[in-house]
Amino acid sequence: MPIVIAAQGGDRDAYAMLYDRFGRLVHAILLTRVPYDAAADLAQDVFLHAWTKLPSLREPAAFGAWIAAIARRRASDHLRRGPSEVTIEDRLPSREAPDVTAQAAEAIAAIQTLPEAYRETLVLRLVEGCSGSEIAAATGLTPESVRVNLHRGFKLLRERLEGRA
Amino acid sequence: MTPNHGDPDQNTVRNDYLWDPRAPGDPEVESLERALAPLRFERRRKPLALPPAPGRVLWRQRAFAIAATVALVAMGAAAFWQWRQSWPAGRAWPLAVREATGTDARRTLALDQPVAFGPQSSARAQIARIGEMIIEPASAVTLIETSSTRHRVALERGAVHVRVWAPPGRFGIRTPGGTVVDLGCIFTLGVDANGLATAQVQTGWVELYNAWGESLIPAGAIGTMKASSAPTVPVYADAAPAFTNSVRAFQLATDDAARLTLVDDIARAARPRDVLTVLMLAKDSTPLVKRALLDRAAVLHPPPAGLTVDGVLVNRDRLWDWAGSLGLPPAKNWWLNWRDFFRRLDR
Repeated sequence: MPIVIAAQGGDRDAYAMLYDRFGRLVHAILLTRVPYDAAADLAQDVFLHAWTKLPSLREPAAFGAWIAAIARRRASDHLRRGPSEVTIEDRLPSREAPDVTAQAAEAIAAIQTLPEAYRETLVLRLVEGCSGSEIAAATGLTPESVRVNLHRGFKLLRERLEGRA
Repeated sequence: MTPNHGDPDQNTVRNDYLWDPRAPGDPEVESLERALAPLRFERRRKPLALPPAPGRVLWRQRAFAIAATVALVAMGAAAFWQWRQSWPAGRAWPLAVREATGTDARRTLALDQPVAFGPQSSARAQIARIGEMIIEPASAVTLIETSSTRHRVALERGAVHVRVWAPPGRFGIRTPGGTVVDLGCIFTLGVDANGLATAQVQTGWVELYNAWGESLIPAGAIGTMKASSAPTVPVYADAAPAFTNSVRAFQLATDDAARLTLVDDIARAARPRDVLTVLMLAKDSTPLVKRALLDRAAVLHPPPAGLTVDGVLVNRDRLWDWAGSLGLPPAKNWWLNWRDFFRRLDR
């Protein structure tokens, strides 16, 4: 991972490339755990924090797993510090996110109730537009696992959404 | 929704839309995608305002800080070392005298000014800046030389406890029987009414020498010295009395016949550790006695590989190779006793 090594050396452009490459993964992880209107800010926080800790990363090839772990911890911290209950109403369109429809808010809320194994895979596919191969590369899962997660996850999601309708 | 979404295990077509967005679209999935599109990272990403590069810069700063600290500590240590070694020539040593009444008095041990202590008074003297010396009651002490490189006192009678952490030879005590030179250590020296000096070493080494010869005394051992004869060989303080007595008798014997009769007594009472004493006895003995002693020494602690008793008999210097194999710290490595720097002698 020459880009990671360059970023470790203080190369901001290299780090910007990592932000481009792994931003969707981090954002997806956050979307599965926190209110959607907080995910972008938290993703920015995660990358800013990771920038200060980057020299401590011993294995550059493990950058994806490393920043994913940071994102999961950041989401946990956010939920611990923030409101203890997050309702669907919290995710309904607000002035800060006027372009988010009720359908999207409901879908995200439903995804967040799915088993953990399906959440990140589904968000990467349905929100971030990643292909199955890209998801496998980003998460470290095997393509077969991604495929199973996508199909079973989507089936469950459809059932949840139909149940709410 | 197409049927294959519901049963992935039976799905053998990989190019379905859920797996690959470039595949023919699925209306239900596409509808969700459209709804969720505003939440995409690409649309909502925030610019990264990175703080100054932390990585290498931080490490460089740390490396510089460490190097600077090491350099400062080294310079400080060097300056302290210079200060500790330095002492204006002839300057009196500080002396804290404790009288019989229990009161302490600040005095000095001035050059060439004998100080005699009564049976109830003792003192603690600073040996310039390199150590300290406790002077026991009924002692007579004179500072006879002091400078940055050499300090000497005379002990006419009584006893002193000395702690010095400095290169060998900086400090020495002249006694009626000869001179005791500190090689960087802690030791006790007593001089009795007959002028017999007895040195017992706690750490490091001490050298005893007079006109008749010299003897190196390691930690744990005792050596004595009087004006009429060479200093005795070192004998460990915890050696068996039979060994100590035999060694003393050996050194007082006036002929080889008497010495040879004592060799077996010495060997019988000796422990492997006592081989140093046996080797030092052999050092100045005649060849006949030397062989007898070395044969016994070889049983106690065999000579190192490549060295034999015959080899030592041919080349006297090889005896030091044998002594060097006993595991004793080299006398010149005074700095190994660095703990002595932090110790304080008890009265």
